[in-house]
Amino acid sequence: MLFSFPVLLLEIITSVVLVLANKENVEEFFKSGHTNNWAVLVDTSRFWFNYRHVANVLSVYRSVKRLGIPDSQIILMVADDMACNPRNPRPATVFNNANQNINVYGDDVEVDYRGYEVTVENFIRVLTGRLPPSTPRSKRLLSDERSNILVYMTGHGGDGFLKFQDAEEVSNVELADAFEQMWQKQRYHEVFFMIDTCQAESMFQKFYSPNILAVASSKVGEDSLSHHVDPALGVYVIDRYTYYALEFLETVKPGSKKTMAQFFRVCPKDQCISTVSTRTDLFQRDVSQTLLTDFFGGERNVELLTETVALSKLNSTTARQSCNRETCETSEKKKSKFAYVDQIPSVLV
Amino acid sequence: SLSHQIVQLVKDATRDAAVVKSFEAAKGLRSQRPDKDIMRSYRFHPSYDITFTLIVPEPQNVNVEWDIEAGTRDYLQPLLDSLLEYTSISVTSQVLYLVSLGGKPKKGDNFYYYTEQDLPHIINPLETKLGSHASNSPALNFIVGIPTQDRSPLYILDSNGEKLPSNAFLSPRWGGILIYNAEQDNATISSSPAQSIQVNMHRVMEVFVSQIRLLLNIHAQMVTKELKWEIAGWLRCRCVENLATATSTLQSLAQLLEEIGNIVISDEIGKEVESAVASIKNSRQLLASGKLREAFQTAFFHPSLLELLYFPEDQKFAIYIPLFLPISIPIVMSIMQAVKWFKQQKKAKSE
Repeated sequence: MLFSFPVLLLEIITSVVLVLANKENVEEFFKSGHTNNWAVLVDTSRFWFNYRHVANVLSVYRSVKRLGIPDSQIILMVADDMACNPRNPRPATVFNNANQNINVYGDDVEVDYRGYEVTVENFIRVLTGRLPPSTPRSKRLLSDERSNILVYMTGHGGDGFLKFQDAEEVSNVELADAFEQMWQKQRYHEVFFMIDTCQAESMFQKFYSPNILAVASSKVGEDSLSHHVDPALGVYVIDRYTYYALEFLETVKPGSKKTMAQFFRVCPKDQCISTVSTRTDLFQRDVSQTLLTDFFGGERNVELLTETVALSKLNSTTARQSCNRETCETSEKKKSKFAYVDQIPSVLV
Repeated sequence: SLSHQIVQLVKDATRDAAVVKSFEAAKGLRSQRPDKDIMRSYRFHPSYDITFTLIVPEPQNVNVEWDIEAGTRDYLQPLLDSLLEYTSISVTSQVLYLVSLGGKPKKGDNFYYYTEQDLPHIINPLETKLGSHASNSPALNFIVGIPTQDRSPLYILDSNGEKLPSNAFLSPRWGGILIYNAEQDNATISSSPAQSIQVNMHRVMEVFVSQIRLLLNIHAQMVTKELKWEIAGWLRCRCVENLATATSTLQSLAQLLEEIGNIVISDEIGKEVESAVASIKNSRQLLASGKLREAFQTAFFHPSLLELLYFPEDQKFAIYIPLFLPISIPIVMSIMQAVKWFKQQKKAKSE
């Protein structure tokens, strides 16, 4: 950098002395360790009889949106279209309750990966960020090292795997490796992994990356059961664990102080029939001190602007208004004027 | 002592502490509660998107106009021009009608106010209405909010209960919001035929330029001519950040290769890795000799991401056993037969 050192030294001394005179305590911390929230919500099963999995994921989507995460930061993967399915007697709606309280499909749902786009490859690519360059922004997980991510998966699972689209499966080892790659690339601050399938506990048993909190609807060897059937549809409309979890989430408002420990106590064995199991050893904070809105909501940190930069006032607007009536008109005339060509050229006449 | 103070001043001007913090953050050494500087500023990216939004809640009562083009041209363009070599920043603007600031401002003497705790609840409803960006660059959103007529004037009170002079707040890695009270802010107001406000761009851009400097990790307090010292400090931080990111990515790549022996890596990736290592060495040399600009170009490297073809041990069994086991049974049987026959031949010969 070639500039005269003494002159600039004088400059900085004067400006910095002024600054040091009223320096505030900048070494404070923000309230929470994350600056943004993302959600990756995946439904892996297709066919009409798996209506409840679509209702599960759409209900969680609705809660997460209500609590403040914007659509641009939610990746919603739904493997089949129930709302516009020819077998749906109530077209363009998906209900998670037989008494049709809430239409979870709504009119502002944004599905990012639909139908056959929900594959294991796309799911792992979304998590690790290795998408082809032509992928639009809405299909990318653009998280950084200060993002808290909620990952919700539902579908049919077994011991150590989760079935995608009735055609392929993702294993718990692959999932654990995907999270480790995310950690190495600094793509998350904390992850909350929620899974509602049969033998769901097996999916998080192999995790080994730090800062992951996980909850599953059933232990290895147990089946996760569905809640109730809607006679008009002829299929089960929601799973037990998600039903009771939603009951709890409906009582949470933005800015609520409810903790993750309270969320883990949702759906005891008499209600869920399967045992809800959790994994907290990889998580560094105390679960009873962690707010639910750290993962489900999008409350941002704020910082008041105490000092502003002083800019010298410039007036380029006067230059634009400087032409008065006569001069403006002449400047307009200087631009070439276009006219229509004669219909019948004058040459021929 | 005087010399000690001078050293302190120079360190502050060249942002010594900030460089160290950037390096540690990029390396991945994260504490649960890092300080505000690291959390607030965006990481380096070759392009950023800045969007300015004006919110007019009651367009039927008040006609609000702002000359944002002139504002950015006059006050923001110098900063963007000086950064043009290193990162391209695109600026867009929009006006949103019939959207209000939200939250529940409390009533003071003859004004309304928000406290710092109310502010997070303003951002989320506005964020959904801003519209989503189409590019992959990090987005900075700046909003000028006009309060409604029945909640005017609207101030932000700080922790001491005093009105904040800037009347603005920012959210780390997102952007900032300024609440604009027309009477107090030297706007040009005319009352005929309908109330019309011409937003004072100088006041607005002062606030936003300060916020942009904070969010992009440019020295917030020191303003020098042609921004030379700020850009130098910024380059230093970003250089170090990029170097740390590149080295840590290469380190994790090496670790991965050690752990998974039979991974398939294409030649392309190999070349990129070699060029990355060469770039890192080059830029370290340049940094040491003080050539910031060149060091910056070489340090900025995107390690390309490799396809993970992953064969865990038990899956190997599952793939190969159904192929080889059925074939191997008759082969083993016939080998045993062949061995028996040779032994017989040997016996017959020796007899």
